[in-house]
Amino acid sequence: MILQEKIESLFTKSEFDAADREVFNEFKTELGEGEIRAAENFSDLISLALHRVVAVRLRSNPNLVRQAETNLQNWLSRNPNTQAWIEWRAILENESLENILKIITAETDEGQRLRSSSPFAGLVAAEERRAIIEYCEKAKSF
Amino acid sequence: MRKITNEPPIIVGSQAVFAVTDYPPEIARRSVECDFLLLKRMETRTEITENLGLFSEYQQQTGFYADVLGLATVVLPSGWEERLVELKDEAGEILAFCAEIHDVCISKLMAGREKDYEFLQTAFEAEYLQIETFLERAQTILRSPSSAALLPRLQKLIKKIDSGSLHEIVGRLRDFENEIKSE
Repeated sequence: MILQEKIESLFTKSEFDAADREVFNEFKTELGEGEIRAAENFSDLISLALHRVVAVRLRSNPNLVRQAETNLQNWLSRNPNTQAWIEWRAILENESLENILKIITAETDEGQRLRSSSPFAGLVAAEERRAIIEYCEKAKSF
Repeated sequence: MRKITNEPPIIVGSQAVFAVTDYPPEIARRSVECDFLLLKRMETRTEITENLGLFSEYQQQTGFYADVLGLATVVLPSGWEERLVELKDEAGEILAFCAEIHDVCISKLMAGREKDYEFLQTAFEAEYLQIETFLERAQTILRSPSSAALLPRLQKLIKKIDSGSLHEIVGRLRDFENEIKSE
């Protein structure tokens, strides 16, 4: 099965809702192969793509923010002085959902900086994550 | 740190400062990602990204993750391979190689994000960098495909650190800026 078909099949599975498919299609359209190749920092691009999926998921189920809060609680219990996580804990405590969505999808240095310490692990399924990474890997020559 | 692949990865990001000091500055400790460079096996890259990358189970458990870069996404001064520093565990086994700190900082300069300039400022203030060596390495970028990007990055760095206590460093950087402009 070629990669494109594999991705398409992932996003027609029942566990991925229409909004997920929409965001992934948008991702593919916006970031065509040429643009992916030209992107200055490939890892930042994958991170942005993953967070777009997170944003869709949070919008449809705001309670999923609790997953991020739990992650931070677990991480900070072992490394309590990690500033990046303390900063994220404050964001989740103080910001509205709309602002959180803006922060995680912002195409700015600040957005990239905050995504690089993201607490949203666990919100993108492993298969879905692999498909996004593989799509980018294939499009970008190493 | 544990051994993660048979091919020792190369640490090229701010975590490479661990090769310089056991007490890294706050900005290096702030980072929860570790940037690796892999040169040989594509499979290793995919393996690390899937197992230890952003949103992996490893990150969910620990909060930390590995970011694998290809040479196409990192600008390093020529000769950097000959200056790699070994990072060993207590038994003396090589876990990784770290890019030498001046090479890391030139790479940061060329990446040109706000956090990269903050790191550079800290590295100068903590005296991890010798300005002579920094400028020598920057000179090699002028002979690379990334040469056009050096001047704007350098100007941004000068603007960033100009208001601090690094007057002498800024002076030397300005001299270099003028040198590039006159060429």
